[in-house]
Amino acid sequence: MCRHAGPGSKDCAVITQNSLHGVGRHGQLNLTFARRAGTTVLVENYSRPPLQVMRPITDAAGCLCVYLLSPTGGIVQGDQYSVRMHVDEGAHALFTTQSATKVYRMPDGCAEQVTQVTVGRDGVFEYVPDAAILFADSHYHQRLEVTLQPGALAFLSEVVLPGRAARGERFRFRRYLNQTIVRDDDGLIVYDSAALEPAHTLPDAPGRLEGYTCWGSAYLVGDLARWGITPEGFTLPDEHPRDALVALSPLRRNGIAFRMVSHRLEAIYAAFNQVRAAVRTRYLRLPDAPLRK
Amino acid sequence: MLFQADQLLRLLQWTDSAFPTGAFAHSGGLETYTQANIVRAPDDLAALIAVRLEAAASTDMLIVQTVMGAVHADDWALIAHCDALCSASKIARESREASEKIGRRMLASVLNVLEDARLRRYQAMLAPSGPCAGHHAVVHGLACAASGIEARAGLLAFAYALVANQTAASLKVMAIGQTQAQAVLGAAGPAMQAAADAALAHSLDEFGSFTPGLDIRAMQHEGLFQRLFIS
Repeated sequence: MCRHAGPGSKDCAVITQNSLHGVGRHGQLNLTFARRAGTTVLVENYSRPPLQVMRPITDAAGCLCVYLLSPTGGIVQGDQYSVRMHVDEGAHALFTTQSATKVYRMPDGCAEQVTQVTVGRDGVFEYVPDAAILFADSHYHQRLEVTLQPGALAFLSEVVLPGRAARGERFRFRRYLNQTIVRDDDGLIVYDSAALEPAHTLPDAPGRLEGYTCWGSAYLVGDLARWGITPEGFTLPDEHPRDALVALSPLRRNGIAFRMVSHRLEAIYAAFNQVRAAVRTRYLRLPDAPLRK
Repeated sequence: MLFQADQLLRLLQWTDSAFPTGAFAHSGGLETYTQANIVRAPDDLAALIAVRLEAAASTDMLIVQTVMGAVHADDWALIAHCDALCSASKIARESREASEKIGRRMLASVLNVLEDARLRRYQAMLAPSGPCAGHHAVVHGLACAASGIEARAGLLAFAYALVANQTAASLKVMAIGQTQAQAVLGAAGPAMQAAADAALAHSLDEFGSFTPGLDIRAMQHEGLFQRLFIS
C-alpha cells in the first residue's frame, strides 16, 4: 500500500508500476497567466489528455477563469496528473473544475495529482475546485504547492465528499492524502498534510469528522497587511452545529485558515464563496462574479 | 529501554505538573468539547485522548523524534525546519501559541536545571532575533537529546504529558472525579506506547494529521463565553 507522499517516494513507484502495465494516464497542464493592457490573458496553455480546460472566461472583475474538464470518467488507478500554473506580475486568475472530481475504485494501486503554482508580485490567484468524491476502494493523493512572491494574494480551497452519498457509501475508500503547502521568500506559511485511512482510523471519532458527511479547508494567504485584510473582517455563516461547524484562525504569519465540516457540500461551497466574495468586494475593490457551473 | 538514574529523574521532573511550563493553563480544545456537550463521560474523554495521541504520533511526537536525531547529527537546519513545520501546521492560533509558550517556558526551566550548549544555541535561534518560534515538541526533543535519553523514552514522556494534561484539565471542565480521571490516564498506557512506536516508524515526509474537528474546536475556543483555560 502507498504510504509515503513526497516526490520520488514509494507511491510514485506504485504508479510507475501501474503505468508499465498500461494502466493509468499521465495528464499534464501548464498555464501561464499574464497581465496585458489591463486584463489577464493566457500566454501559455499546454495540456496533455486527459487534462484539458474549457475556453477561459474573463469575469466581471477582469479575472481570467479557467475550468478544468473532468478527466473522462473520473480519476482511475495509475492516473498521474501534473498541473503547473504561473500567475505573472499583477495578473488575476481563477482555477476551478467544471464539476466534482470522481475518484474511482483502485483495486491495487493509487492515483496522484500534483499542482504547483507560483503567484508573481501583486498577482491574485483563486483556486476553487469542486469536491473530490472518494468512491469505495479508491486511493488518492493530491498535493497543492503554492509559492508567493511579494504582494501576491491567493485563496485556496479543498472540499471532500468521502463516498457516493446518494447510495449511502461513506468512508469506503482506502486512503486519501491531501497536502497544501504554501511558501514565500521567508519560508513556509502553510503545511497542511492530512491522511485518512478509514480502515485504520475511525473517521467519526471526536476530533475528526464527528459524524459530519463532508469537509473542506480554505486558506487566504499572502501579504494580507498590504491589502488591509484582517481575520476580523470575515463573518462566517451562522450554521446550526447540527448542520455544520465552521471556524477560522489567523496563521502565524501572512494568512488565515478556514475549516468546515458539514452534512452538505453546498453549505461548504457557499461558505467559501462568501469568504472569496468578501475578499474581492471589500479588499480588492472588485465585483464578485459567480462561477459558471 | 535502559535508563540511567539521572535520565529518569529528569524526565519525571520535566513532565511533573509543578514544572513551570504553563502547560496546565491549556486544555488543547477539551474545554470547547465539554461546553458543546460532546465530551461528557470518562469514555468520551478517553476517545478524544486516543485521537489526540494518534494525531500526535505523526505530528508533535514525530517532531520530537526528528529533533532528537538532528541533535545527534548536529543538523541545525533540520531543527529549524521542524520548528517551521510546527508553525505552519498548527493552523489554530490558540494551539499554536500554546505550543510556543509552553516550549519557551520549558526551555527556560530546563536551562535552569541543566546548562547545555545545544539548548542555548536553540534559544539564540528564537524570534524575534532568530527564525524559530520555540515549539514544545522541538524543545522536548532537544532537552531529551541533550540528556542522552533514548528516543522511545523521550516519546513516552511526551505522550504521558499530553494525556496527563488532558485528564488534569478534565477535572475542571467535566463532571469527573480524581479516581475516574486517573483510571483514564492509566488505561491510556497502551495508546501512549502505540503512539511512541508509530512516531519512531514515521519519517518526516509523513508529517501531518487529519483532525478537522479538533482544529475547529481549537479555533472556536477563542470565542467561548466562559473560559477557564487559555486554549
